[in-house]
Amino acid sequence: MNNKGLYIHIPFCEHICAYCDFTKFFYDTKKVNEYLIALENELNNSSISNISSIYVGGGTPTSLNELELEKLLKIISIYYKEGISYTFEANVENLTLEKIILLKKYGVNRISIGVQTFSPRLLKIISRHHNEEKVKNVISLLHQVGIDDINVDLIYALPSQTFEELKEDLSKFVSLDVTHISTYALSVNDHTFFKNKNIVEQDADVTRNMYDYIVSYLMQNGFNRYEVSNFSKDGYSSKHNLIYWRNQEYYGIGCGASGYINNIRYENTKSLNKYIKGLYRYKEEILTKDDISFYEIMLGLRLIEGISHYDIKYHDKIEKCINSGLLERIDNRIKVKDEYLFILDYILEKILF
Amino acid sequence: MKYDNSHIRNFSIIAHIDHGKSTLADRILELTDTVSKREMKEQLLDSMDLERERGITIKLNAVNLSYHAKNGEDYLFNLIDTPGHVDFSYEVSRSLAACEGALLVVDSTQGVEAQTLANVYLAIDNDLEIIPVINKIDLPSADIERTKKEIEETIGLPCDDAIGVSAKTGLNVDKILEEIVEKIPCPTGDRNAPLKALIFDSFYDSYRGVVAQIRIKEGSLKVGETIILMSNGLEYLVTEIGIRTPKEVKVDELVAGEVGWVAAQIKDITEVRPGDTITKKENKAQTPLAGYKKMNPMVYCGLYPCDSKKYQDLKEALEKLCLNDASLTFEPETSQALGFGFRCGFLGLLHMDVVQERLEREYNLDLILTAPSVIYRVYLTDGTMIELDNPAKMPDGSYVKEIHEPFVEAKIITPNEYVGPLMQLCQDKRGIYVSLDYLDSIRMQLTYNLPLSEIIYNFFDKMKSYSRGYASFDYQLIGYQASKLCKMDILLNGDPIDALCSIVYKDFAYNRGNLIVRKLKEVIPRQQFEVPVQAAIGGKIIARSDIKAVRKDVLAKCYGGDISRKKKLLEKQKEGKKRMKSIGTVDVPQDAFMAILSVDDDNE
Repeated sequence: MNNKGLYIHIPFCEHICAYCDFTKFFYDTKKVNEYLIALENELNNSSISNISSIYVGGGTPTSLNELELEKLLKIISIYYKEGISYTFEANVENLTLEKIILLKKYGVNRISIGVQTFSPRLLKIISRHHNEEKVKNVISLLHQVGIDDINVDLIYALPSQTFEELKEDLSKFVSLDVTHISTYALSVNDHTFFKNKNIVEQDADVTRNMYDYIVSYLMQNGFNRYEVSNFSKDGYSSKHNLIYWRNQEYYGIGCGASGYINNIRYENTKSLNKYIKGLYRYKEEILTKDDISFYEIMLGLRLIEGISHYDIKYHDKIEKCINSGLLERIDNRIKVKDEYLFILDYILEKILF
Repeated sequence: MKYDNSHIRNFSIIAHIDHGKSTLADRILELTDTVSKREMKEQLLDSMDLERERGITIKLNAVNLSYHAKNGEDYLFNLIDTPGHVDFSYEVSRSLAACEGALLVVDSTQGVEAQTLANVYLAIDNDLEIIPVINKIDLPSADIERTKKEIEETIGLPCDDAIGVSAKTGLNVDKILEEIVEKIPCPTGDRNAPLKALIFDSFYDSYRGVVAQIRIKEGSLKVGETIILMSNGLEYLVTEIGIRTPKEVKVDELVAGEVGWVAAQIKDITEVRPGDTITKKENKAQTPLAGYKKMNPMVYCGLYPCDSKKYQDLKEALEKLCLNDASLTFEPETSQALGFGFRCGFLGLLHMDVVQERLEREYNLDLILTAPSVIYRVYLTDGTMIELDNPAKMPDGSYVKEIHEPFVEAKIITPNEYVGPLMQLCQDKRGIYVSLDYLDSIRMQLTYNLPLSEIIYNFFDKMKSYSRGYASFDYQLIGYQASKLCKMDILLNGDPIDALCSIVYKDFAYNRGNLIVRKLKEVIPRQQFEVPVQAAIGGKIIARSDIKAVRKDVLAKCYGGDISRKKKLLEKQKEGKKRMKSIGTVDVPQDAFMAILSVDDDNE
């Protein structure tokens, strides 16, 4: 069955964003070339088969120069098949027309752009270096080349962000010619610039009000919410990310990548040097039947479609949550009621423990 | 080797917390070569983790030491450690009954403290020879002369020859050993008389059964003999006897004057009560020893397992603790909110704390405690009186004629500069002034009669903060008096929660109610819906606040790399909320039940 995902991590960036906790390093040509060799090696040794989607994330995959990018695309091309979903993450600053043409040539049919916000004030706070004009320009280039499936990331509840700033962002986001919007309430994670600067997250009530506004605004403007934080136009939900939430298997290739294959969830090393030396794997978690049923619920309830089946041991608790109005049963599927999606963890605790 | 009675000394050490008792005991163990320096752990007698962590002695411990005196002769010392805290004066009386003498250790930088006084009086009641020891003389702030004068004036103990020592450096500790030989009377008691042995402590060992610590007052005891517990007449065959050095060492025989332990395959822990007398089947004693003045619990609270399946485990753990803690009492009770549990009686708050911690650590239980309460006497309109140890059981107001509450006489010793604020504190706590006396030129003793319930409620911490830590206090029950009291209910989502109600002084009720509902709003996490928290007296709502609905509790993004971490995060979050009890639709954390206690009247 063709249903597995392939995630490939490119841990290089030209700039480091203040909130980012992914594995990333400053771009360095020598390291990139060593990295690509190691990456090819890991791919070839992973017995990859039955791929239904490829997702190249980072870092910033488009921080690679054209030569390096083509090398990467060639390495991946062995696993590419006509008709699968093939996404590249990109940054506005380094996604040139030439690179777009290259991506198109190798079958990339979806681009995810980290826009985050249009407010120059907030862009400065999160250490990003683009502007509204550049974003619009890149999107128009993509359409010119024929890549029409485009996601833009939106971050909200940024430190000091006002409601007015959010509203302005939203009106600009929906005016873009894109198919998908991923939103994130800012969370301050360990090993980020924000954490080191003791920046605190916005108050839960403010965040919730912003979230509610985003949901209603995007839905009024033709986007469907299909996951807690993800919105798409009809038919454009992210096939690759659905693999995660439906608890299906995926290969994770590259420094700091994670995968889930043959009942094992694994993480690769976050050390670039170790990775280049071929010491790919950092740890593995062999899943029990209980773990799997735990993950099914934890991930599946993020989706508006909910879950179609679940381990019988959760039955009583799920019924209890249906009675208290947190969950609902629609067409034999269990889902979180729309108004409670933003307190999913609260519900998961009630079900899973 | 065997010692005759003239070469045995049984003594204990009396001291206030931090005055250096355990350190002195350690030095004595070293000087008598009982424990080599290498084996020395800091404060060896305090063997419970809890004791070493808190720097207090809870359970008494006994150690046998051999001492080669300057007169060339060898002596056997039995050192029986005592706790210093007011809650544990029962333990003190137990150890004192097994001794002929006591070292009174006073910190020369602090002077005599209220609890020291209480324990010295216990020693005097037991006719013990008291040797004053002035400790910490190596510190620059030591005032030896003033400390001696204070001991003479407050206790009436001559201090001309009092020894100044430093337990920390070991200075003059050898002189104490000589004083013990010279001043403390040797035990009397006929080795050939019928056996009378006082049980002063006991614990359970899964291989040997109950192990009782005993002081042989008369007669002798050997392995293989049949003993009788005089309070219940039960017979057992002695399987092992021994002493502690402080390691357990088996011996063949214990005789009058000696201190040691005995095991006799006693399986039921409740059968061996400290204070009981052991005798032998052959040549039986006619009358038991005096035993102990039984201390009655002063403070009660409900103890419930977080997981209701652990009820039986909790019961067994309490039974085991009761074995060597006669002052702990418990009986089953049921709460609508918390299910099945026990109403437990304690000597005081520290005692309660220690029991809770021991249950959680040593027996691995997660517990919910309700706020402690004293015993109220409720006089009903039909002329009867009930003793109320659980506020939830208060009869309806229309049946209640009068409520009486226990009062204590509290003695506070403090440097004179803090007398003003401390008197204010006592007034605020409904205290009735009794007297104010100078102990010396700078230290004063303040006496007040106070409701015991006010002492439970924030008194100790406030006294310490008002006096910058210098004041100490001791109290004793003086009887019951009528007070203007009423029951205050706490309602969650409109339903009264039995485990959260309390008895309050009417004039304080409005303020207290406000503080409690605000505190509950703080400690109860947000819920699915908004939940009103109300305080009510006799059906009338006097305070309200609302626990808001939870609005954000989700990980914003969850992609391939976040999944394992997310599971761990949920598990960790759940671990933190283990001590939650679902009451109706509201999840209430453990802290909430203690909220009544921890609100601070100053934070208005």
